[in-house]
Amino acid sequence: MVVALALAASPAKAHGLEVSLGGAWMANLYNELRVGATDVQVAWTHDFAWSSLRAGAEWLAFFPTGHLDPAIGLRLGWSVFKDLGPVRPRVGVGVGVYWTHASPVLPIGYLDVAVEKPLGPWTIGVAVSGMLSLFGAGLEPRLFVGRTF
Amino acid sequence: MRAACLVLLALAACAPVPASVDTTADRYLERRPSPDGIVDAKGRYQGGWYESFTGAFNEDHAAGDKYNLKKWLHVNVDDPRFYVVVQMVRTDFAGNLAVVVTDKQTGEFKSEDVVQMFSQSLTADAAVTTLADPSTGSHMTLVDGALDFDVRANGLRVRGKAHEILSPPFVQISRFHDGYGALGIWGNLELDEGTVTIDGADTALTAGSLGLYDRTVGHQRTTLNWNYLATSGRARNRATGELRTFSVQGAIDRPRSQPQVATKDHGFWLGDRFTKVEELRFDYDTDPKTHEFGPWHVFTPDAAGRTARVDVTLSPPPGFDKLFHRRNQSSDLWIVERDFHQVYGLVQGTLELDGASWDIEPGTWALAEEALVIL
Repeated sequence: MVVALALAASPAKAHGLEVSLGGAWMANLYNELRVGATDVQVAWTHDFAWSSLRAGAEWLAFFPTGHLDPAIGLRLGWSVFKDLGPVRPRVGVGVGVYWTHASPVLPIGYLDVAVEKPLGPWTIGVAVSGMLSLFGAGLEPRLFVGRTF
Repeated sequence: MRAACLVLLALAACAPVPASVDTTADRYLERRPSPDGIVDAKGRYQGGWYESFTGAFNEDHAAGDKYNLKKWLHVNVDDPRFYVVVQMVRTDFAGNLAVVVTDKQTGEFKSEDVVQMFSQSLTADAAVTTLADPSTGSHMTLVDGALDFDVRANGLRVRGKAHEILSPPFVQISRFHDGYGALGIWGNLELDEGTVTIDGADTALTAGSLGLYDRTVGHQRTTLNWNYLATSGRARNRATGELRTFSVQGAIDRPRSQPQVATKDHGFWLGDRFTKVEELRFDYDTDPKTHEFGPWHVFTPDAAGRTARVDVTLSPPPGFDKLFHRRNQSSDLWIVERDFHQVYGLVQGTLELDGASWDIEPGTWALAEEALVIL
């Protein structure tokens, strides 16, 4: 389901790039539709003293009834983190705006939870986002790798 | 309700939908005077089969979620050259225009389906007598038995005028689970004039062609799975030779509809008399690999006390070994999924009413459907 690769910043106040791969699953809150997706994100990151900012591009490939229905867009997120030595958990919120066949402007709101492990200039980690959008809610688990510059 | 769902992030369906609905109180086989409104003071649909509908179009007061409120006007015209279907649909968050033109000589379909997701361009009045979409220049009006329509979808256009025949129409409020239901008015038409435009070329439709309409407003179930039959033409009394105009319309729930509701939406007109049939069954074979269908047998099983029965079979048109078949399988993200089969062919069979048998005249066409819509 998930493979991750990223280039991002682990030290505070650093720029970085982050690449993540994962999946998503959305449930319509009104009907029985449950739709899976694969997810690819590339994001620029910037760490402040106790929070970080992410801005990037995202490609969600939904597969309703066997065909590809993509959502391509931009995503912005802000999270707070705490260094706990070997790992750095963070919690944040985000919003994405996507182009889809169904709607040229599809908003998705996110609640992000992630755990990162710094490895020198590299970072690996796992993230799960709760998703809330038009008529639906879901989850988006993914792995990521980042590197500072 | 919606807010609660969002807060809880319920990943399963939020509102419990019963597996079936007891329709005993709705008395769907007994025609009654019009209710005072589509829904009662508690927001429940006033289920029943009615002589007419003169009450209030108060569907906005239904207890069902606004998301499920849908209005549509759907028209079929059975021209000697083409079988034409047009519709305009207004839902909470989308508009839809659809045009399907079937060439009876070749079996070729011309089909366009415009879904205006999250758009309010397409409008419909509360009574669903006037629908308009400025973005495509389309409109449909059905007022005082006169239909005026012009539906344009991606270059495919059907327009025309028609008047109502076989009056009165079939009027029923179907009640689903709490706060959900629909008023459906099904009637018949005779075309005054019309035009089909394909790739910029106009072809006149034949005046006098028969057709039908489906004018519906209500809070629909989110998982709809049905069979439907529509045909009209002339039928001859086997004993007397009398010829009358007839029409058959009928729909039943297939297994995935939720909840299952036996609304008895089936019957036929012989002249100006509409009679319900107590039961309608659809029997046909489907090739699991090609999804092609064999002949469709649509019938009312014989049983004691049944004075009205339909027994018809759809077969491939002359020169063809299969029914004309159009499939529209589509979906949008997690929002909507459709798998829609329409078959067209010649229909043979009999209508039985009060001990008399009426044989459908040769060369009569019919449309039948097997459909799944999750919305």
